[in-house]
Amino acid sequence: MAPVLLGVIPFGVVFGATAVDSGMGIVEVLGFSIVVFAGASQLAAVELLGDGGAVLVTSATIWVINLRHLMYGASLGTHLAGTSRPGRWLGAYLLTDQAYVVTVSRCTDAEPLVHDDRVPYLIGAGLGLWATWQAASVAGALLGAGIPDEVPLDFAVPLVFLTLLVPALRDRPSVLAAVVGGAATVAVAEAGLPDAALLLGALVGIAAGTIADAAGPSANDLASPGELT
Amino acid sequence: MSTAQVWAVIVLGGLGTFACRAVLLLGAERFGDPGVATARVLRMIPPAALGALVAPGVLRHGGELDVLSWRLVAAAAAVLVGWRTSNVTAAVVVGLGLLTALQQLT
Repeated sequence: MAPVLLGVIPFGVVFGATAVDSGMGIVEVLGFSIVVFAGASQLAAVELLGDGGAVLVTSATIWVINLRHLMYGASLGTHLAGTSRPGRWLGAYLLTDQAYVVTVSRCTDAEPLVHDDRVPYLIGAGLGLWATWQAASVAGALLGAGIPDEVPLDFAVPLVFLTLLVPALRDRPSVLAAVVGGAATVAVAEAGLPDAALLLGALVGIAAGTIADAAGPSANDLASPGELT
Repeated sequence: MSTAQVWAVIVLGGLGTFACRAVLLLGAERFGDPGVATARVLRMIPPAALGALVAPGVLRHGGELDVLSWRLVAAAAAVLVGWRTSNVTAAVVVGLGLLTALQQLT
C-alpha cells in the first residue's frame, strides 16, 4: 500500500496548488477533496472554474471523468456480493482507481481474500488513500506554487499502475485488453477529448479483450499474480 | 467564479461521482449470478482500466504525444524491477530515480 499512497501525494499537492492558483480558498479545496474525492476530476474542475467555466459544464466534466467508477463497481460488485451493505456504502464513497485495483487483485489472487475480509480490505485501502489525499490537498493549497519541479513526482502515479498491471496480465485476452485500452486512451486524448479518454479507452480495451476471449480457446490461468506490498 | 458557483460544482460533481461509485457496487447482485458472457466482460475490466490509466502518463507529456521519451525508458525499468521482485515500492523508486537522473543528465 505504501507506494500507492506515495503516488497520491504529488497528485494531491498539484490539485491543492492549482485550486489556490485558480482563486479558491482552503475550504473549497477541502470541499472538493472530501465531497468529490476523485483526483483527476477535481483537477479538471478547478482548472475549468479558474478559466470561467460554467457550473453545469464543469459538473458534467466531473461526471464524465468519473463514469469509469461504474466499471469498477460492476467488477467489484460481483466479488462483494452478499457482504455487509453499510460497509459497501462506505466502500463506494472510498472507491478510487487505486482502491479498486488493489482490492480486485486481492479478490482474484491465487490465494484470494476470504469473502468477509473483502469489504474491510476495500475500506482500509480507501481510508489510507482518503487521509493521504486530504493531507496532500491541504499541503498543496498551503505551499502553492513553491514546489521544486526537478523530481518528476507526477510520474509516480502511472508507475504504480504499471507495476500493478503486470500481474493482471494473465493470458492473451487480458494483454490485448491492456494494450488496446492504453492505445485507445492515448488516441482519444490526442483527438481532443482528454476528459473522456480514460473511460472511452478502457471500454475499447474491454471490448477487444472480450472478443479475443470469446473467439480464442477456453480461458486459462497462466500466471500467479505477485503479492502487493 | 463566485463561491456559490464553486460549491454548486462541488455538490453536483460529488453527487454524480458517488452515484457512479455506488450504483453497481451495491446493485450488482440484483442481477443475479453473472452469466458466462458477463463474467467474460467483467474479467477484462482490470487490465483494460490499468492500460488506460498507465498509457497517457507514459506516452503523453504536457498534453501532447511524446512516445520516445525518458519516461518510456524509466517505465520499462520499473516493469522489469516489479516483475523480478514483485515489489511495487522498489519498482516506483527505481522508475522515478532513473527518470530524475536521465532528465538531469540531458
